Parts: sequence; structure tokens; C-alpha cells
Amino acid sequence: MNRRNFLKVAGVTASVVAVSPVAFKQSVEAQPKKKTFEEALKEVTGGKPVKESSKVKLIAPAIAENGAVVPVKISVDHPMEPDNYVKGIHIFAKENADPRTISVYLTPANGEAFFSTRIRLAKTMNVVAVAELSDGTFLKAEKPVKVTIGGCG
Amino acid sequence: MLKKITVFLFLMTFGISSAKAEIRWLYDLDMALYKAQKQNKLILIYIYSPHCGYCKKMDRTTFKDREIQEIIKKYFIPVKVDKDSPQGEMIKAEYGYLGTPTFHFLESNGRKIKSIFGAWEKKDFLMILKYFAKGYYKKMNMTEYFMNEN
Repeated sequence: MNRRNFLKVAGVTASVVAVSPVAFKQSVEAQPKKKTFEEALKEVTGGKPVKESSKVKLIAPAIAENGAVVPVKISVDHPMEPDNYVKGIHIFAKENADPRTISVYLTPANGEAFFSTRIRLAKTMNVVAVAELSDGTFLKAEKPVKVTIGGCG
Repeated sequence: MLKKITVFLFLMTFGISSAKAEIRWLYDLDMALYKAQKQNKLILIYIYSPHCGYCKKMDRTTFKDREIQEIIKKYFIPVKVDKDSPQGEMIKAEYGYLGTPTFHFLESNGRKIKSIFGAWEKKDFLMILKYFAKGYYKKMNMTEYFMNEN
């Protein structure tokens, strides 16, 4: 190895050694922090109590054939009047890395507190629908949804 | 002597009942189609890989369950194929492949009803088998069926 090649190799090695701890730290920090369901719920409710209610109807399959696209339908049996209405519907997938899956905000002009969507479930878990009422109270419904325990590509 | 006879009878009974419970997988689709038409049953194809841990788990747990074995015996002609075998390649080309395990549910004439991917706990797989065995697949798709199972 001549002097020129030695300097090239030494330079590249020194760069890798110098950069890699930083890059490694950045890649670790870049990963989203896993939230608990309680943390995600608090983002929505601000810590207010959430009452289980039959007024919130959550329809989801007992078994989802594909966890990547699980259909859910939510309706809230509540008036949609200017001073008394459902302000928002929030869906949580309890065991996902970020359990807060979707928040939909409504106005009395919606006429009915209903929406349907498809959500992703990382594994078998409970899905929670939380209805936020205009008086600041919260109602919820919960349902377990099972998905495959896994497979190989 | 009486003790020996009793033990012999016990082993015979236990052996026969164990053999009855096992799923009798076929390894040839043509034979399965012939049997399915003759017995008017559905066909359950299980595509596995010997290297797939989830397949091994299903073999060890779900397919060892008595209720699963009974419903398969009563309503299905079960076919098990290695994904890389000639039969496996033929079935993958004909009915598709989603990874291992893949389950294809066919009518007795060979028409595909549905394919399902992944390993399932015995309770969940039993519910899936019932959807096909009881003919609910003729009335609604699987998602609708399980949406109604609220």
C-alpha cells in the first residue's frame, strides 16, 4: 500500500467512525415514541372521565381477515342541535404504536353523528370509539378485533 | 391375564379414537376434487412451508384441537401442500398465493370461494371454518359476516 492509498483508507475509516455514532443516535431518536392508550386518550379528553355508553355504537368485525384494512363504523345516538351535539368521534386502536387512529370533528350541520373508515391493526386488540359531546363530556364503546397471529412472506 | 386384556382393550380404544381425531390431509388436488364431489364437501387447501414458524404453530396447536378436527372431517376435504412442491406450484398458479400459511376454500367443483392468509388461534379458525361450513359465504362476504357477529 502506498502513502496515497493509506491516506484514502485512513480518511474513510476515520469518517465512518466519527459519523456512525451520530447517525445511529439520530436513527434511534427518529423512531416514533410508543404511546400508551391512556396517554393517547388524555390527548383527546384532557384527563376528563370517559363513560361507557350504549349510545355509542361501534361496529367492527370480530375477526378481520386483513389487519391492514379493518372496516369500522361508528354512530352516536345523540341530538345534533346547535347547543347540544356530538363535537367529535375519536377512534383508538389500543395496542398500536400510536393508539390514536383518527379524530373526526362534527358540527350540527352534519345532521347525524356517523362515520365509517378502515383502520390498521398491528395485532389482535381492542378498538375504542370515543364520542366527544358539545357539553365537554365523553362517551365510549369498545370491541375486540382479532387478526391473524402472523405468517411468512 | 384379565389385566392384560383390559390394558389391550384400553390401548385399542385409545389408539382408534386418536386416529379418528387426526386430520387426514390429502396431498393431491385431483383426488380431493374427486372426493369432494362424491361426498358433497368443500375443499380446504393449506399451503405451508417447512421453514414457516407460524405453520408449525398451527400444526402444533390449532390443527390438534378436537373441535377443529371434527368440523374439518365433517365439512371439508383437507389438502396440505408444501409451497415449493409440484402440487404447491400448481395450486399457487391456479388459486393464488398470499404467503404461508395460505388457506384456499373451494367448492366441490373446484371454484374458489376465498383465500385467507396467516396462522390463526383455534377459536378464531373455528369461527372462520364455520363461516364456510354453514354456507354463510353464499349470503354475505366474510367481513360482513364478522361485522354482524357483534
